[in-house]
Amino acid sequence: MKKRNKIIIISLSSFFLLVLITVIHIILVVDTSPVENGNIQLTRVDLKEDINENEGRPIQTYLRNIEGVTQTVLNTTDNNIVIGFDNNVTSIAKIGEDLNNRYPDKTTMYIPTAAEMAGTCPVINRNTTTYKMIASIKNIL
Amino acid sequence: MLAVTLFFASCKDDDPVTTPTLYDELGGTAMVSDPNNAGTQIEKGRLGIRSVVDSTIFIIAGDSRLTKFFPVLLSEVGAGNLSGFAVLSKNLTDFISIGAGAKNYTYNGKNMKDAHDPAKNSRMALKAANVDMDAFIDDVVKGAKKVGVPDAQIAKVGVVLESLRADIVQQ
Repeated sequence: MKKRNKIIIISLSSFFLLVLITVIHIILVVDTSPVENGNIQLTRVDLKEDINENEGRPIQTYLRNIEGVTQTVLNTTDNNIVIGFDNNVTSIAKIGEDLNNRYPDKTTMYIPTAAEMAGTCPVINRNTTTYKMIASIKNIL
Repeated sequence: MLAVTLFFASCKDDDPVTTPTLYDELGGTAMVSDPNNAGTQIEKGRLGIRSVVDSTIFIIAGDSRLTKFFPVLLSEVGAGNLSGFAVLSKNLTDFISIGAGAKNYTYNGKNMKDAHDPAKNSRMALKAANVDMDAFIDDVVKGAKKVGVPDAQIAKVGVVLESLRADIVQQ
């Protein structure tokens, strides 16, 4: 009985120690300083045909007139346009829909696959309770 | 007597001539409006560096030689949450600002070696090779030219980047 209690106490202590180490690690690595471009997000539209500057410019102009789009960069080597947008105003789906209505069958919105994303760590969501707790603890420290 | 006093005063050692840093050349600590954040001010040197960084990230996001390293850059996040672009822009701007001579900012990220080691940085998808570093520098030059940075300053940024090659290239 005594031996069983000892094992339980050691197991629980080890568990709580590991949880504590994880929490301290998360607090240390999460950057809570303000981000200047916080609402700007990127997406990319891939063009289905080879395109030059002159052919790409009208598509860029169309994109820049979509509400919420802040910047576009045309890449004629890889046939794509990188789009910057305010994610409080529009979304990848909305931009893709507008583009497909104007240029049907000419463009595809690039969405990273699950396999591509599996190799990288996403940015922490600053709207989550976990993040808010970490930020509060960092403020106290 | 006045002439002698002025002569010695002009030769005092406690008033050394300081060489302007790259940060100074880009505008230094003078405060200007931040075009991306209405109603806020930003140091002109930092704004210059952030403009180059953001312009470069746009070019990288469309460059098939480098997109394999940055899938998180083009992934969707919910409205109001930080995107991969926002975080990469901040980290690179912090790092380069300090390297260029900024005094009022801190870089809280990993050192260059760890930041480019997939085993130590889960946001780094693969190890970079020399050819990837060449493509990155090529995109930085394009990004800097796009926002009108003079060739002399671009050359200085190139020197800083080349000094980091040994830490960044890990295959």
